[in-house]
Amino acid sequence: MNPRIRAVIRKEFRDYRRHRFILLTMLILPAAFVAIPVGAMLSLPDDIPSSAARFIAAQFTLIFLIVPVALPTTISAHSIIGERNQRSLEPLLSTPLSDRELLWGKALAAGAPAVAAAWGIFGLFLLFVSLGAPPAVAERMTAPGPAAAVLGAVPVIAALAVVVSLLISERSSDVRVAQQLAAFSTLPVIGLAALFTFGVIDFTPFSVMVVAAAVVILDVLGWRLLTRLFNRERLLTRGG
Amino acid sequence: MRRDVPAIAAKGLTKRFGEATAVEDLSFTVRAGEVFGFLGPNGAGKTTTVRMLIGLLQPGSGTVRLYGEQVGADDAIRRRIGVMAETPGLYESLTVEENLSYFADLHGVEAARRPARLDDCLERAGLGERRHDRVGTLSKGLRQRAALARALVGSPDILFLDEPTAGLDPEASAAVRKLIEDLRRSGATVFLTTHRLEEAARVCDRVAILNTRLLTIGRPDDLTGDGTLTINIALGGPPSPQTLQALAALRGVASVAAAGAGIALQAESREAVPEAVRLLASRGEDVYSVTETAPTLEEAYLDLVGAEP
Repeated sequence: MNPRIRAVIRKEFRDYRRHRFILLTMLILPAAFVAIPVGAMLSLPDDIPSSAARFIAAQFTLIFLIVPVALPTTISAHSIIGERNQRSLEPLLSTPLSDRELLWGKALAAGAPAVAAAWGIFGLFLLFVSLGAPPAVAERMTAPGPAAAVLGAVPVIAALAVVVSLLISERSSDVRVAQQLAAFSTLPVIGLAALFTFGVIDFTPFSVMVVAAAVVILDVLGWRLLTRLFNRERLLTRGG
Repeated sequence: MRRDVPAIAAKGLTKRFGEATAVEDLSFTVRAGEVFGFLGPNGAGKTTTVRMLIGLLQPGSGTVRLYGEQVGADDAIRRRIGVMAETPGLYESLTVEENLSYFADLHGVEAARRPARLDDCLERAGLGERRHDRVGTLSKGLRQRAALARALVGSPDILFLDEPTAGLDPEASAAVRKLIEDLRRSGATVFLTTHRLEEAARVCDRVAILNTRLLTIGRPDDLTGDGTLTINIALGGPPSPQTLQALAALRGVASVAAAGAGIALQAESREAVPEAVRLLASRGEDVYSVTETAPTLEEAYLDLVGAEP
């Protein structure tokens, strides 16, 4: 990896460690996301019908697809406007760091922990499943489908969340507005999850992969838009 | 580093923000190894000019070259510059050393050289003892020094300093001036934006005065007028018109005026002083004191800026 991108990531991680609330939210949110399905699973009867087990397994999997949206949005929404607010953007842009390197560094620093957390809690959940889930649910959850969905879809969904939040951060003149808008931008993913939940789209590995492919296209388009709109001059001279 | 190529060459720089003109048709060069002062009132376009020089703003028209290289998106030239902006812009949750280390990484300072480089910058800024302190806990003056240390971390050939002594106590200001002298000796070029005219006069080889347009440029001594001295002579009472007339007739005296119980005399050189004192004594005037005032850069500045419409 480019050493300047690595430097940005290292600095961002150092910054997270110094802000207790960032660390806490990074730990508490995933913990909640794993506690909910585990709690629900423990309350299920052992003789749950196969059709219900299929539905429940789909719901559990979808919960893990929301983590990569929920975790990085506030962090990446703060990233550019935050630099502007603490007046560190001008010295930073005066270094050999290019716009793309800055954006890659910020995106990876926000997105990678979210992906790691989503995968981590999914692994943890599977452990609980193997220990005490009703057999029908365990069979569904440990099938290749959910794992493929989480492993494949989580990074692209996280990328979209980060790109959208960075766009908002780059265009906003107030941190609060940026963070509110970024929170609002998670709605499409939640909406997508709802479409699966209500059976509008069948939850199959194929349908998840089709949706993931569509998200990849959005990722690429969003990234192009972000790098094109990133404007040093506007960031340094605009008021607010 | 080639010494025959100007460190900075700005030609016809103009920048407008909407209807407002920030900088108009600005041309100047800064020689390699020179300490160049950039003066002007608030809103004169100093920060805009610096931002154009370092490639953060695109000029509406005109060109900038640093060591002969066009300033643009290319990062190569930015490896050779260090910038201390108007506000320190440090990361408050990080320590002083972590802030510097981050910028050392961005400037490509090799890992093996980094500890020595950081030590040197911290020592130069007088922050050796505070390197592990979080920036958020530092006073304004110490943050200013940390920002200065950070600007030095890439061993820049050109250092842009925007008000480096603002908020510093006299001792720290003197240390910054010494640092600028050290940088000059090491061959670095320093572009110093300042409101402290006495500081500019002391450390700069040349200064430019800007008020949207370039008003003047030259050595501080050259800008302080035509070399005329003001001699204030305190007497026992107001001088008579005849005494003033006799003084005005002396060789080397440009003008004479009564100033309360004394005389303000404009002279081309100090040679006029003994003549004037002898004349006053011969006319029975009691001379209590003679003081000489050289014109200052501040007066030259105020004349130039004040004369602007």
